Amino acid sequence: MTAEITKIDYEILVADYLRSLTTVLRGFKTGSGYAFLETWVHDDNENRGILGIIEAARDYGLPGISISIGQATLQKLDFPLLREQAAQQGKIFVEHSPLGMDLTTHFFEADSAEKKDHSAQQNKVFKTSAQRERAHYAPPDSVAVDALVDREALYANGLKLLSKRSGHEGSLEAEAPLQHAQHTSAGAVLEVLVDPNHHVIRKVAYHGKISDLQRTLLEGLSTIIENKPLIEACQHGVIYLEFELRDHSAVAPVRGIVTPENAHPMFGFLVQLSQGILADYRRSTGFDSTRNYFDQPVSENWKALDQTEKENRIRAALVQHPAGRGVELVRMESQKRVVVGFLEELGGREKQSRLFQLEDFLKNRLEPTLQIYVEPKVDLNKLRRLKEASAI
Amino acid sequence: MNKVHADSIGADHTERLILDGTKIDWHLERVRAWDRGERIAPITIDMALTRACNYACSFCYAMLQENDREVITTDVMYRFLDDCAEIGVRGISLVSDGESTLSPAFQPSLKRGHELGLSMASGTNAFVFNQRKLEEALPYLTYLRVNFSAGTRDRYAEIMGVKPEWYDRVCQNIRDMVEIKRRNNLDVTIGMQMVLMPQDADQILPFARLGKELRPDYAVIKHCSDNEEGSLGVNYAGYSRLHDLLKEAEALSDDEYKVVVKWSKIEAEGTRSYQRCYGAPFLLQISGSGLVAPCGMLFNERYKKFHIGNIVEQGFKEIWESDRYWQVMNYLASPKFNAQKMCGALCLQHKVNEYLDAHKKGQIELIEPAGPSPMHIDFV
Repeated sequence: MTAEITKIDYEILVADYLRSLTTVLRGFKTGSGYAFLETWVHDDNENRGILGIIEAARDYGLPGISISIGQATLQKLDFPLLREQAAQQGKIFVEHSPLGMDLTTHFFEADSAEKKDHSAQQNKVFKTSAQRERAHYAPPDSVAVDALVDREALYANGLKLLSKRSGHEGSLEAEAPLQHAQHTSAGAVLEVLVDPNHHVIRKVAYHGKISDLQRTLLEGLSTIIENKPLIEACQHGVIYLEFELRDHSAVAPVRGIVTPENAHPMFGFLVQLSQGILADYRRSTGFDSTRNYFDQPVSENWKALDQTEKENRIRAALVQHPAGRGVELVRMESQKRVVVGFLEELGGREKQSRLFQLEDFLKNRLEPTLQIYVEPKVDLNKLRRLKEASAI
Repeated sequence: MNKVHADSIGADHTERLILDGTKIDWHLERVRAWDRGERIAPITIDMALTRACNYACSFCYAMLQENDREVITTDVMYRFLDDCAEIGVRGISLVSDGESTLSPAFQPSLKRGHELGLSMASGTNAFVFNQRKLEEALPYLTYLRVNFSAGTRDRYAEIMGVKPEWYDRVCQNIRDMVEIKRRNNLDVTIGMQMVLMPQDADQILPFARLGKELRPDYAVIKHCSDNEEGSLGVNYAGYSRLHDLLKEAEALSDDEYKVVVKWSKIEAEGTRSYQRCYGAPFLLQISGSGLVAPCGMLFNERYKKFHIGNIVEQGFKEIWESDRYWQVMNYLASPKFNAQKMCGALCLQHKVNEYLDAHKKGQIELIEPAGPSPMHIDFV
């Protein structure tokens, strides 16, 4: 009978298991090649881990199982408990050696009723674990910190530069076939003329009893939304304006997610104007689409450069920024996507930080639509990929 | 402005079990805090305890999510769960990019999370369970969802990359789950989930019928996600011809068993109506490597600029409080990001994104929902 018993080394099994957790992805094998251990999972609790092996062998239909357990594991075991649990599965034999112990279980042939009773007993314990009251969300005290942010200073430079622009103050005359829409908020009137075939804003103007600050903001918004699809202009125009005006080297206006509405009260009337002209246009034309697939196009200047010149400029820019040291251009995937690689070993956080800095630098220096990526990590354990398989 | 309630974008609050929608509007306190620019804790964290998996499903998105592996030990999880409870996370779903039941940290994490007041859930292939493990796990779970992307033995083996006999074992495990739940009067919801590729349409009805036989609480049929490049080759247009079959599957529902098709995502055909991603601070994802990134679609090394930290190396609370965390989240909400162009199709945050985007566009008012709260409210 002993010859029929499968013998395994628990220490080797565990070492294999833990190594595989980080080296195997799909098709992970849990039990060093033993078919009956396909259902076994290592457990930090050695008692449970060993009991799991015994259960897996029993469920697979083996007549028994012998497990070699090393001294180090033995010291962590509650052996009387393990022996008691194993004894519910079969007859137990224990053999000690200088290296540890062999625990052998010869399974009972018909024990299912007894085991089910035992399971029910166990579960009574778990049922006593009542649901605890949930931790309530308590927002951190952000007000005090936000109060320290000088929101005026955050936008001061942007507004100063913007105040030099002009050209949109006034009113719009009807101009067939363009469709007129307008809205009023906080004394300001925003007017647009929209191409009704493509729903693109062709002309923008503003007027009303407005302050210098409002005038500057309206001028900025007008510049951003002119020649943009109406939906894009009305949904995202103010987001672009806030982002453009903000000093990104300073602390953000809020600690969480920045939106025009929470960044500064001055953007509030612009949000209302934007939503209002879209509503007015919908009312007068019946336009009801909510689809917005606008994607910021590459600038004409960048588009005009050939591939080699684009890559040369990116390489030159990378060496000009401190975060670009040890970073190389691998390739461009499109006119917008820049794939870089790191020439030196860096930690994950350092890489992330550098990529953020470099992307900002490339956007400001070369082309606002550039995005930075690194080489993808390929799944070395891949068994199947449909696209690749179908191409074979 | 024509105001509409969130129900119109997929959620049906007359049903207590919302499988094709979002429950974000049941967390308006947190939405309002987010609106004010406060640092909010995620309501739900979707994560795995390992990147490893003993299956090899043909549609596996995890093949596209490779990143530097580290081992999430039980101690790491204890520290992580303590942090989650402290900052106000509500639910942890062990799903994501690996089979969490393979990790030694699985059962201890369920217990610890439950004791801390967190809602714990798991999506699993359910292969390594046995009766004892189910008896141990089920009392701590809000839901246990079994990934089961076929309805017949041979096709199960083919689609999920395993031996045919594994089908028998998992079926038995589902029967055992149902029995343990019934016998012990547990609150856990037991589900089966089919990730449907259009070419596997022959399995829709067998799957729904199998569920009817095994008697979980529900069987859900969902689309398959793909990355930006379409590496898995999902033919989103191919779902439309399955309409009648899917309706027939739904008709197999009865009083205690519900077949649900995630119509809203299937009908979206892989497209998004929004460009900003506002959902990640509410519904965060963590890789089985410990990597904290806003979204599973950004786990791959390619998206390193979005990789915030790793819970193996650093406490989650520290990561969440860091400027790096909020810098990355703000990137996704800024004009620099366009989810239509820079993300794969139909991500986990999709329905939350739809809701928040509609709110920011003035299309949805934040109205306290009426009626009884849906089940699994901590999983938005």
